[in-house]
Amino acid sequence: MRPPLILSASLLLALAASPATHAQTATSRPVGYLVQTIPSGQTRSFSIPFDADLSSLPGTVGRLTAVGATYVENSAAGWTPGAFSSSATPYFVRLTSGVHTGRTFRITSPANTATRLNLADDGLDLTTLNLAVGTATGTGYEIIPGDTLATFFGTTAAGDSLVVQGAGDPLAADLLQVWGGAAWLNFYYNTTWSRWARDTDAITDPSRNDFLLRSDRGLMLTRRGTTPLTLAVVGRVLATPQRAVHTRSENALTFLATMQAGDTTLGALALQNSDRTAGWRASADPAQADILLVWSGATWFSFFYNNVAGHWQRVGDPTPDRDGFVIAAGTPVFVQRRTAGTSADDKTISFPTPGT
Amino acid sequence: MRPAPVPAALRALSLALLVATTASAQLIPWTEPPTVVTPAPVATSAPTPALAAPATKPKAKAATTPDPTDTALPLPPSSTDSSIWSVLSTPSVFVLTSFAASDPGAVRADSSWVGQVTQNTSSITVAGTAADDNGWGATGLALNAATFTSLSITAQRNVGNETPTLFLQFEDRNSLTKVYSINTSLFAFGTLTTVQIPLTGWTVDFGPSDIAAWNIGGGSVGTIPFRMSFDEISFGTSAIPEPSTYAALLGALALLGATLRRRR
Repeated sequence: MRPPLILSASLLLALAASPATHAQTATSRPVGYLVQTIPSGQTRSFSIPFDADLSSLPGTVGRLTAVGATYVENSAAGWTPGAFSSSATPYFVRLTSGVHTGRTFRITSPANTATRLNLADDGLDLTTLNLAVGTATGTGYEIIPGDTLATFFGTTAAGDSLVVQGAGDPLAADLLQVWGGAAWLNFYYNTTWSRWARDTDAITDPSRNDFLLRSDRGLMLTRRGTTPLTLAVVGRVLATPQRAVHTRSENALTFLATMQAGDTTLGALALQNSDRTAGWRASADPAQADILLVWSGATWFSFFYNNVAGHWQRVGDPTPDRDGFVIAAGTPVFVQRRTAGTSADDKTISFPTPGT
Repeated sequence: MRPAPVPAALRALSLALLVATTASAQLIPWTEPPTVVTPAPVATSAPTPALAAPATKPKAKAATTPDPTDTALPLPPSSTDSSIWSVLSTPSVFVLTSFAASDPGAVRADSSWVGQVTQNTSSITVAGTAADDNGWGATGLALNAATFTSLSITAQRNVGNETPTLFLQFEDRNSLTKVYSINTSLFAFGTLTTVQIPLTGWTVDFGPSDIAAWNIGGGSVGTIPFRMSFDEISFGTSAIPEPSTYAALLGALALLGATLRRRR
């Protein structure tokens, strides 16, 4: 449970400097504030473009001293065993230096030890990243608290509060959708069972309270309550570019949080550039081009980069130049790559550092 | 990070509102690389018992006489088999679904396939205004697929299909997912084709021994037409030779040929 403190409603970025620190370099990160409103009866896409506050647990920043296929180590970390690997209170690791700066991994089971974190990264062998290791020159990292359905949207348990509308019937409750890779996973808060559930669940199915909300992914929320749902979040604005892992099998879609704390545009995201995306496929023919989809509020807008014309274009739209199409703060995007990738780098997309 | 109710004054200032294997079927080994390279699978929850092999008769697909109820597919007569838990002639094959009306599986209520799927005797045809989202699936399963090494899909493309890739999403008991994909061009137009995929991509945080649901379709959000018919999805343990194996066999054949020629 990390209830937020609303500091301001000025620009999304802005105000105070949080006492975020790095192992070697003292840095400050601005705190951002974002309000997202979902009108009654409507569906919106959203993501949280901030990091939560650093945990008070020891060793949340440091340098890697060893890397295995599915784990990283810091011989001097002194982590509390199991503290970062509980499914009820998930954590992520973000790399803060080296060529993979901005890449984020989920801390998973088996339980972490005093020196080792077991990570999940969609099947990647971590040793293929060739991360620098060493007490002085190893790759820097920070450990960031994550969220589950229960920690983010709450429950009806004593002392907790449910942010969304729950119901005994999934068709009467606010609907939260998480992209499963090829189809949506639909969740709602079941007030009869007093827990989060899938819309297809029976009472014998497990609670979904601890379902992980990946910080690097988007969500869809359908408001079924009679009043608008307003969500406000506060967090630390990213100081490094978000390097998001996406699926690289043919035509697969990944629903990515861009981690942009302010509004941006297709032109500013510039995913077609090689320093953002390895091998972005551009074409004058949208059937041949990689696709970026944005939820308009009622439908999906599909965009592609026309390398003949030299700008972004919407599929089927007579207005040719859509470089200026605005992607509101916190809005996630679907990315569809036409071809499969082969290397670790092929699987990542770098989004701009907020404010640059 | 927990969102908070917003005071009215702050609400007014808020900036960002987000709008925001049939006898006749052609067997084609899958030629794309696996989606991901993974370490050995690790179950994330208590494993469920492996599937029993009930003594049900195999699903007969004799390929000669078209099923009179099947308007879109040149299907053979369906057997009376009504269990998806049937095992084919070899115990190493497990039929996930034969798309019979009695099989677990239905149109997903939130998909574009609602009202666009024709249930045939032992197949389904997706047409009309169906789009490329995953529109058919089954839930409430307890399936152990950890020991299987391949997946076969028997299907065909129909006129008007624009969906380039077929996606099969598995969900484990913890709602973690694993997705396999196949280029739809491997399925012939108007003729059932069986395409086999190696199951090499179970990820470390997915529980293949505890699969609770699956769904199939174009794997997208419903933007382009989907026109296919499905006949069967099955797991198998048949090994699919790697390209290097084929190369080694070819090399051995060449060596044998050269040796024989020299002897002559």
